[in-house]
Amino acid sequence: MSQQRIPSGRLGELYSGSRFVGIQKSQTSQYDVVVDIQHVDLQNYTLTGYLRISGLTTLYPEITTFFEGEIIGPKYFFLTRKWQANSSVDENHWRKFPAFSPYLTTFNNDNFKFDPLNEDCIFMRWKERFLVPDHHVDSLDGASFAGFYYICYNRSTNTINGLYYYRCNTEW
Amino acid sequence: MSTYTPSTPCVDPLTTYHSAFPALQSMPWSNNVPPQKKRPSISHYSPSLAPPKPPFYLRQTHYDSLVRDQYQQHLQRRYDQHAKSQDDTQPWEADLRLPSHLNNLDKSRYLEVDKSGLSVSYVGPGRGEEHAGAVRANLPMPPQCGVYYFEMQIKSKGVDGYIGIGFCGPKNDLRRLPGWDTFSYGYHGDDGHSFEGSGTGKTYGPRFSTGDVIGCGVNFADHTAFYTKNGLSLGVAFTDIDTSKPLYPCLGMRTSGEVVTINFGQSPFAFDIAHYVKEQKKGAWQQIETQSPKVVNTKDQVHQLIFSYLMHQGYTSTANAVIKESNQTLQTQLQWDRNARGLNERLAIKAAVMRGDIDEAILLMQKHFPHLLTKPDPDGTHLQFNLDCQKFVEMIHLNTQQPPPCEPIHHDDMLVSPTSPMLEIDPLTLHSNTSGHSFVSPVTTPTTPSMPVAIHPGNSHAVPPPRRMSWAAVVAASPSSVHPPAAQPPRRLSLRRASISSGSVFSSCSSSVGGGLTSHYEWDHDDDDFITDDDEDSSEVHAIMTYGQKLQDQYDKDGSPKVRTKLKQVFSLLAYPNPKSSTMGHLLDKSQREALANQINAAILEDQQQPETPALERLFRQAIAVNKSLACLGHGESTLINLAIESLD
Repeated sequence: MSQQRIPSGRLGELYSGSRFVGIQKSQTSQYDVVVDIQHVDLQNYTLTGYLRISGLTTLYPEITTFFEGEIIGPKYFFLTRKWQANSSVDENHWRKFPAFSPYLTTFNNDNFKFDPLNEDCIFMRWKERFLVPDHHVDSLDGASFAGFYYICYNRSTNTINGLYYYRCNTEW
Repeated sequence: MSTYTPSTPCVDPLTTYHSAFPALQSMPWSNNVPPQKKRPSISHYSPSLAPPKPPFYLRQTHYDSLVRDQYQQHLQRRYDQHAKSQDDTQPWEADLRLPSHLNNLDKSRYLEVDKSGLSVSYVGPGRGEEHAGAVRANLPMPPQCGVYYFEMQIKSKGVDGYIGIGFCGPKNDLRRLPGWDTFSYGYHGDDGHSFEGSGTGKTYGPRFSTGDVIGCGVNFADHTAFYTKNGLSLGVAFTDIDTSKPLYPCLGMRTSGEVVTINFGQSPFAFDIAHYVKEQKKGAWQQIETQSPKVVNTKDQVHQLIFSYLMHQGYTSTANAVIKESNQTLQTQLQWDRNARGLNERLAIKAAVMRGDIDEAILLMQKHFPHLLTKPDPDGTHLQFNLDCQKFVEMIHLNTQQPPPCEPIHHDDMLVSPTSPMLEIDPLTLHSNTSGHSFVSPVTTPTTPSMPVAIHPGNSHAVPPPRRMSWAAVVAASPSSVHPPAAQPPRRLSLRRASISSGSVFSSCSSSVGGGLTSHYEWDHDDDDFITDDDEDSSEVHAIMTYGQKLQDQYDKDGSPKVRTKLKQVFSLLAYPNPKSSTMGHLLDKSQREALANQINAAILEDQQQPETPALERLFRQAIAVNKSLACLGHGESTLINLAIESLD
């Protein structure tokens, strides 16, 4: 009997093949969203999946993108430092999750540590990489995926909340 | 808009540069250069008197020897009363100092530098790009280093960690991060991009944050710069850097809470820069070796060079071997050279000198090259004089080598201390009560236990010769008679008599010792007199003395200071019972013979219109000189290689 074990690829209900259904709201409208989780890698604190939005543009009723996610933890920090998000942007977004309130003042400290495996709340950043099925396309009329999502997943309620951030957007 | 009070500058109004060379102890407040004004010209800086200590990775490099030379030169100039004109060669004017700390006076107002000059924190509002601030080091990186390296550690990334590390010119705007402006280069921690003269960066390396140690190295040899993170090189960041202008290590920050410490070599580096420097050196040497010379017949040239060197030194059989190795055309030429006139005589003279047989050498010289003997050298001496001095030295040398034969020793026999009596004179005069230092041969034991027996550590003989007379005693003995009288006072008188008769130079030398020596005699007044040695010994000494007097008479009238000093030095050997261990002992070294032989060799060759120094030697010297001046001028590749040291390894 060997000691090797396949590491668990499951974080609550985040596992390969799990599906979340919900709504994406922008200022005036809302769209149906389906998220399929493809792979969860707890060693590297990443995950991947597909995000399918219905009705975003008239031309394309259904748009599916492939996204990569970073799980906030020992490897990826709350401070994004990329995608044109600085610490104030980070703070403004993270604080919108009620589960984040304990960390509001300390999340950017040098010695702050967050371990998602023991927490109820998993914080993530999801970045859409390309469209499927045609991955060469950069953006569509009326829709873009240049920004990224701040994600909070509650294990207890099994819900995912997300905020989309793009530098040029001033609306929520 | 809030008012911002700048941090109070703790300026120490000193005008001298205490930030010493290259100041591993950092005193930032003493560096008084305001950033706006032009830096004072190099010639105004007076280097500190502390010997230079470059950081470890620069030791054993050409930079190190340049720095030492410069230091020696400055010391020399400082203490030399009759300093030569101040327009010395260019190397000494080059400012070879290394950056040692951050310049508190050369920074943005949003930054605060601590007392040590090695830690800086951001104290500005930190709300945007316009709130960026940078600070420069106190001195630029000298291109004579070859490779300059420094590191900084992020003590805290603050709010966003917009920290940039790099280097820039002296006049760059300090409200910008390194790399954003022309002539500025930086690596930023927030995105890991490298910036070179523009606000848009290129992907270069990883981001860095709290606790990371980022190093920046500038390679003046190939005009590139590289960075390291936590001891690992990240590769070349910038190429084609213009190193002709001064480049200052520079650090920039932008958000609150950022704190960075910088290390200019005061502490060990995380990155193995010494290894990097070695690699660069190796690369440089390889480059030299792979470059084929532009001359056509290199093999012939090389043979000719070697041959001429061997002929110059007189190694004829090896030279013959070289002839055999070379091709036909060269062979005839070389053979002709070999049979050149005067070769054998030159070699014979040289061999005679090396043996110590000066008489023979003089004879041969007189036979073959008489005109050379009296031809004056630039320093006023001439070969004849040198030969005569050397003969005198040789005679003393011969004499010191033979221990006088053993004879029964009287119980209070006084052995002369084998050390320089000069050193012992004062203690002796002071402790006239004590019996002084007496040396008793292991054969006999002192009869009076009160007599302290001191074995001087400087004794070169394993067993002190049983009885040695001091030269002065012999001097006292010889003019008067072979067997000196037993009474003490007449001996002293005869010493003075001898000194008087020998003439001014001799007496001036011996009187300086004579005063001491008489006191040397004071204490043995208590004991028996010196027992004379054999007739042989003193007759040899007698011969030496007569020769010395002859020398004295011959050259006393010579006005040249060099002659007089040399005479003094040579005669002073007489004062010591054991000249080898005296201050003038080096005159007895074989190397003196060699030097004299080379001098004669060169003179003869010059006379024959052949080059004084072999071509090989001249080539080598030229190469070293070129290497050195290039290095001094800041030519990077040249500084990597220290020809003088490394080519002979």
